[in-house]
Amino acid sequence: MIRWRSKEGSWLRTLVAVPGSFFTLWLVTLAITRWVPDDLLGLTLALVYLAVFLLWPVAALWALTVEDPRRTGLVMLGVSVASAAAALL
Amino acid sequence: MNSVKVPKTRPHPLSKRNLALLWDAHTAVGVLIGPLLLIIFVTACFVPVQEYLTGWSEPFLRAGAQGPGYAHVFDPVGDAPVDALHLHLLGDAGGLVELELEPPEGSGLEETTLWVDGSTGEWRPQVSEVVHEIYNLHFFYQVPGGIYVAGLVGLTLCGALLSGILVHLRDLVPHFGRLRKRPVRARRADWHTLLGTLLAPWLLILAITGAMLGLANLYVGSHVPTAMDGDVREAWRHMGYGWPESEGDAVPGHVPDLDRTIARAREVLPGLEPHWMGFERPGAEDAVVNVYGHLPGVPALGAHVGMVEATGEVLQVNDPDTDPPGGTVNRWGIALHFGDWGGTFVRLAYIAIALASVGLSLFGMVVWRSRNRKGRFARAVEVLTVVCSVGLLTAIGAALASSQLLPLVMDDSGWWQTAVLFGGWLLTVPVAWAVPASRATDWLLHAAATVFTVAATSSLVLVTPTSLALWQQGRGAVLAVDIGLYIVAMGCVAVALRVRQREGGAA
Repeated sequence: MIRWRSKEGSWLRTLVAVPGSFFTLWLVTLAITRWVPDDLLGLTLALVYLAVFLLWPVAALWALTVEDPRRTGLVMLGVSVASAAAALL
Repeated sequence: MNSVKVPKTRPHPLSKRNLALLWDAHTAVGVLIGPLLLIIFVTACFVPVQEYLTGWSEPFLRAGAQGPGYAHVFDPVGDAPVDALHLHLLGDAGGLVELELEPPEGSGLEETTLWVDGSTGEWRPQVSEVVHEIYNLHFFYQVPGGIYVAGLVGLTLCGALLSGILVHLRDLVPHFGRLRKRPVRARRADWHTLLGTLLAPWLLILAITGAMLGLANLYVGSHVPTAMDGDVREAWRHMGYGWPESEGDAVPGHVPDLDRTIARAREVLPGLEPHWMGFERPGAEDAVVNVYGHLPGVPALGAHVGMVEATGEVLQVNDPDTDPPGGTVNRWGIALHFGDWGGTFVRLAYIAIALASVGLSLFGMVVWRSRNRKGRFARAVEVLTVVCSVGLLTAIGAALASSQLLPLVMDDSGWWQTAVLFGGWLLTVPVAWAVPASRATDWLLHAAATVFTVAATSSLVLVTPTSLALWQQGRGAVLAVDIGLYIVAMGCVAVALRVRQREGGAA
């Protein structure tokens, strides 16, 4: 298998960094487009479409290096649930 | 004289801990998506010139049109029942058109694609699918949901590039261009770093736009139930993809007036060069025609006019002045990803970027393999790397050669050409598995050189009309493809010799 340099690598850290950060960003943008005024929807959709793809790699690398992936994961989960609720309301 | 102690190596801007985590991320991403990336990079060497390759591989297109104009383009349709007629106007090929006949739903008929000489009405069924298949492979279209996988690979590539930049942050500038001679592993690592540094800005653009293209459907579609009351058409309108549609019944035997439609579209958008047209329910009272094309100075297929077929009444116009913000983002995304913004020079530069990216990926894999010599996983990754790089290149060469040779001995060779592409590719798996990677690479590169030479030579002297004859008629595009294929063949031999020399040196 892959020989790891870091002693801190873990499935939880990977889960938080890769799918976690992506789905959190995605759900946040869903909440934004849900509540933005209709006349700004087109512009907002274009901006969040760009932002998700530009920001995710940076967000993933940041999440990979956090001190406490469990806490970051919980924060992301909280933001995701709140965003999903806001998008579905 | 005061002496100042200078540390031999500057400290890395990242902490030791973060550096180790990012190294691991860079390695893991590179190893896990490496084979998929190689498929994307190898096919990317052909995608920018796919229209030239199509014209090269189809005997009917090689012959060219008898003259300009589209007066007889719908002759092959006759009274056939059709719901829609889609035309791809091959700009550089006189009046040649790729014509798709979409039968009515539930009729049991299959969609048909023909090549038509618009000036005479002469036509042939489309035979070779090889170039389409290479294009489709770039996006993994052959696999259900493959486009999303391609999008995710693009997204992950962004992560690999950023982590690569961060882990090499200390050495990027001071050691730029360094290629140590010994040991061989250090030289390969230096090549990986150098190529990565040079390619990073371009690859980031390609990776981000690739991810956007691959995941657009999924991402924008997810906003439909929450922000657009389930109206998918509104989402596509926001992203510049909307077009008017017809709901009437097509009239069998109705012949649309192509020249008048083009003239009307040019009235609406002066300077429009139509590239793709769709007649929906031709002959119906509300029949619609959509014309897509290039406008001078606008990247990609940046212009669209949708109108009523019978009256020319304009229903929708898309151009840089009227595009929604999402349409502008999409147009630039497509243009930047496909090199559709600066003519032939830019397309050739994209091929160079794709080739260098293959090198970047391979050097990375070789460095990783040299540190991970044991175990089935490492060997499986190595085999996949060989198969997805030189193996795929060999299969593409064989398929291109078959597109020239098989029509000489059989009428309908389309299925066989596709079989050569995928069957040939599959055959490279046991080759890569049976022998060490360096020997498999050597063999496959020589095989690739042979098949690309066969493809180019067949086109040059065997196929009617030969590319030399076409060149004498003033049509050099086919000969240019031959020359390109010879260059690929020579490149394969040069790399094979280099690999053999290096392996000899390493041993």
